[in-house]
Amino acid sequence: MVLRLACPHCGPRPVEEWMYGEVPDPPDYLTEADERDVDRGFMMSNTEGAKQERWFHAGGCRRWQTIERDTTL
Amino acid sequence: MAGVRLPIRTHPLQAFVTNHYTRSFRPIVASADMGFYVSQTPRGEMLLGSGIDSQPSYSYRSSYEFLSHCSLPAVTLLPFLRNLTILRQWAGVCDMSVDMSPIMGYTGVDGFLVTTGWGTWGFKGIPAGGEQMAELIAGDRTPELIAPFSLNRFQEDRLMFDPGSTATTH
Repeated sequence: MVLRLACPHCGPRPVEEWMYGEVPDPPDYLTEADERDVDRGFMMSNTEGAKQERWFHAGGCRRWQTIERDTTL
Repeated sequence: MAGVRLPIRTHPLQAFVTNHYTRSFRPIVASADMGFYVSQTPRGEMLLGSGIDSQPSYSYRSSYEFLSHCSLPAVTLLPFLRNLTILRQWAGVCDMSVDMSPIMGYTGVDGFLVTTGWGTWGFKGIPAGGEQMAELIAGDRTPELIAPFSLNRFQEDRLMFDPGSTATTH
């Protein structure tokens, strides 16, 4: 069964309709501005488990949505 | 947890095999434009795959959508495939780096090295990568061949374009 994301407008829709938007999350221990910029530009937490994400519903309401998803499911 | 930040995201990669195809099919056919590849296993099954799933995930979930997405270009290019039935389907997870190229070498943490970001087709490049990593560890010096793949290339704004080791299209 394909992954479905619950859209507040359209209901649960298959992931094929969506575009993933990476949200930069530089950790607090990075304090130097350049280090934070590099982290924002390239690094990823690659969370295993539940996290809040930004998804663009390209094949539906065409709105950015904040959706909580468990990356292990 | 060494606290090393990596430009890596984990994505599932799906594939499937058909039932036994009685004739011998020797080549590995891969179409970057159509986004799929096919080859025959030693048991005669046709093995088909496509690109990674778009969502970052650690899940081994398989989907019907993938089957239909991958089958359409396959039967278009190789019509004999339409007479076969699908035997089984599975998924694995791939470590994808920001520039689709592997990352090898020091991390800034003493005694902690990485070799990652080998993405979808790392098996072509990994023997040489492993050999060079062994040389790095034994010799305490980064071999010339893998020096461009260091983790600090992102700090230095020196991203790679290395389809040779990943077989990806950009």
